[in-house]
Amino acid sequence: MKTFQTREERGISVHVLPTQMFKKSSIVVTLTTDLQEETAAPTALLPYVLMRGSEQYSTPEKLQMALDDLYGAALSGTIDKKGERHVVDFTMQVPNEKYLSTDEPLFEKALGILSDVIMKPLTENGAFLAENVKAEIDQHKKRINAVLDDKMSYANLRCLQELTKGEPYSIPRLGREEELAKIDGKTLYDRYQQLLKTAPIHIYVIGDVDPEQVYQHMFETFNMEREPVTEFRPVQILHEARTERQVVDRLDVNQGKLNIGMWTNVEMPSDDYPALVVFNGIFGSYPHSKLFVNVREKHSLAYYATSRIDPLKGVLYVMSGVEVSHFEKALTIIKEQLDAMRRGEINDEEFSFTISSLVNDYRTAGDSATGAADMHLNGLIAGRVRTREEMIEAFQKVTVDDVVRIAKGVVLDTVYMLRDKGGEAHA
Amino acid sequence: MHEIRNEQLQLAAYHEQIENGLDVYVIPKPGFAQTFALFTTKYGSIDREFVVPGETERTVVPDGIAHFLEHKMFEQESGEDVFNLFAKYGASPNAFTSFDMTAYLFSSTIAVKENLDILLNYVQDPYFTDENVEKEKGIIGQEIRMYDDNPGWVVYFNLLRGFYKQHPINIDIAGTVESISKITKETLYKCYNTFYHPSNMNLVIVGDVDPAAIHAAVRDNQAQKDFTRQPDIQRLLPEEGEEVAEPRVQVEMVVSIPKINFGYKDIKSSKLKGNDLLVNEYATAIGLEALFGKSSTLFNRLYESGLVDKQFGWSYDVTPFYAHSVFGGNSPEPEKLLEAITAAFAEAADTGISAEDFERAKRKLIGQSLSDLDSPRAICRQFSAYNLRGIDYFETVPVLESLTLDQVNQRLREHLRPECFSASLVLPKKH
Repeated sequence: MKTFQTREERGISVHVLPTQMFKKSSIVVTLTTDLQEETAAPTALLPYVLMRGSEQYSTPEKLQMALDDLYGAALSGTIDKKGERHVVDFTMQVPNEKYLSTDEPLFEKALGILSDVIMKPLTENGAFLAENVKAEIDQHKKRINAVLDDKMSYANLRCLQELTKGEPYSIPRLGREEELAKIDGKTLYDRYQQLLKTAPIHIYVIGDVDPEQVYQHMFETFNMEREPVTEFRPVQILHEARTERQVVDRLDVNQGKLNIGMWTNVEMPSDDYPALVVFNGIFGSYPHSKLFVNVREKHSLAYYATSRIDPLKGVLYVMSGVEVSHFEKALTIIKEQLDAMRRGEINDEEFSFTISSLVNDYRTAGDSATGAADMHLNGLIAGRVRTREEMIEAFQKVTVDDVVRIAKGVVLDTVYMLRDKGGEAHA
Repeated sequence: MHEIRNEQLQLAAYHEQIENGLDVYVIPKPGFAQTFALFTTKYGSIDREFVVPGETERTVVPDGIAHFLEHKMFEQESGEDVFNLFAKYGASPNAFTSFDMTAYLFSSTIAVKENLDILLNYVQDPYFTDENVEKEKGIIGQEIRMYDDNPGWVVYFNLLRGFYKQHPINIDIAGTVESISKITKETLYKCYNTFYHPSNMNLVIVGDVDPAAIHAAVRDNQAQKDFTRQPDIQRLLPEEGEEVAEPRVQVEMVVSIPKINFGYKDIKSSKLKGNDLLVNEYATAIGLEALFGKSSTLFNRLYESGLVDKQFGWSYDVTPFYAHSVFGGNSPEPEKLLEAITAAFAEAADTGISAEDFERAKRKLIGQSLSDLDSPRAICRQFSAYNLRGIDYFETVPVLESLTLDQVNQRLREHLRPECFSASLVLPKKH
């Protein structure tokens, strides 16, 4: 497996993976900052305003035309939440002309568009164009409210919000609607300049490219004066047990959602992290896991019952869709699975299947260019980058005892239920 | 082993037909860690009525049975769990049912041959009991409930109901809680025996593999099984007219903003065969992309006025069984949007698209076809689906390159017919 070759200047790290595996090339530009109340909404709004146009491509239509002309180059500007960091992300994917009946240098042209969007936004008197900001604030309100429309992710979001109440992690990825009114072209532009000056910038380039040329091009493009921050706010990973809380939301839904938020008390740089991933594999992330086998296959209570971890915050969450009248039964079964793991009830198959599946997942991760970049950035944010080989090796050294130790450290904190509007208030 | 090659894409498929009629295709993808395999039967939710080979009477089965059967294939007589068989090698298995096919798959980074054996063996060895059939009704019941709460799914299926009067594409793939309650092990076996014969299936494998070795492994596996050749299955689809069933379908759900799907029923196109289907598909696609793609004048006018959002998109599905276009997304003012769309589409049918817009849309679609080749999963799914519909997937880019502006404008005129238009809305319910 190949890894990224990195060069850094002025807090701009360029990570290049030269490969002939892909028929398209990928470029990912990220700016990382703390996730905090004061800046969340404007930071989240930024990529959308930038995608409204640049000096050379002054409207969304002109920008999109230029991209389409490059055989459907795809450029997205989005906002990610990685633990308690907020990451502005521009991803460009462009076909390699080697496989097309054209001699146009598509990669160079795509880079040109990307740098114009990031470095030459449309401004007047040191502010973003007022009409663009206003239009995107309107769209952003809709994006924020649309969280309600997908009940599975809504329940998940609400559960994690309740679990992490009072901590930066509970700030929504898109920011809060009430903060949008405070934003105008000037404040937003200032925020952008601040990010360009201070945010660590990580650029990933994956494709049939020459690293030296890429470094040179990137450092020339992003040639601004910089004072990159080196310290971020510490993320609270450790949480003590408190009385288990139940939160019930009522909406007019057909299916109930039962979600559970837990603290793992393990941080990603820890040597215990691979054991945590194994724990989650046995507990709930595969079809051979305890949740799927017991909640779905044995008791026919759910179509999906699964668990995931966010190692950048040390949370573990269970998601399931069950009949409201079966909430108690499903909750009891889910808790039993956790207790069983704490008692060391993990059979050889569950254990070895999980290791094999994880090895498979990590090997496969390199088949996606943007997936490989994302995994690398997660490591950087957490403070420890492990290669896929390192993780695979570490999984193979994890023991059942390690997993039991992890299980004992897991704290079940918040039970969240999304249910219909009829019936009793208690599930 | 027969080679199907595309020089420009630097891609090849190696084909063999097993004696029992199973078509096997291997597509090497050097450098990829995963191997992706897809075992697909030409049998989906629309196969509600058919004549079993050798019988004379027609059989009508409960709605949702193809999907139910997909779930039940994971049950083994030995009691062993299929997921566990794959998990031993770390393989990641899955399955899905669509309107016209059911597919079983795995992706793995080691032991491709062993995983292939597991895949072929479990799909070719059904085991249904009264008890395991009953058990599944609870699980699928929850799957149906999940989709009932999904506004994107509801708005889409309601549009299909708006399009089709008789055609079984207008029923949910998973059926209803009521219809699946009628499913028994006997009906499952009947469907299985009719549609899971190797001659009604294909197997596609994509990865960094040696085609000869994979073909040999599949041949060995199939040689151990006793499949006699099966005569053709007679599928009975009701005659479906060109006009839509309902021009408008509307419901209320708990959503933040109205969801809208609209489009054109295009039943004539489903009468085409083979390469003509592909030409039709991409001539329509270029037209719709030029008309309503993200760089089109129309899309940007609607986006500027706030009537559509960036997620708004279009798709065109054409198969030997059905054909229609779907445009959809969120809109704060769906009535206003429909008004604007109706006028703009009427004009487009009349004047056609410009040469520049044609060229741009064509380039974009060519680039997207190329991009799909970076995903073994995407190659498998598309190759398999096209193959079962009698189309060569590798012809996609050559067909796109050959299309002319006249062909596209002609196609737009045929497609954008007001009497074939329907719209489906999900409006916010007070909560």
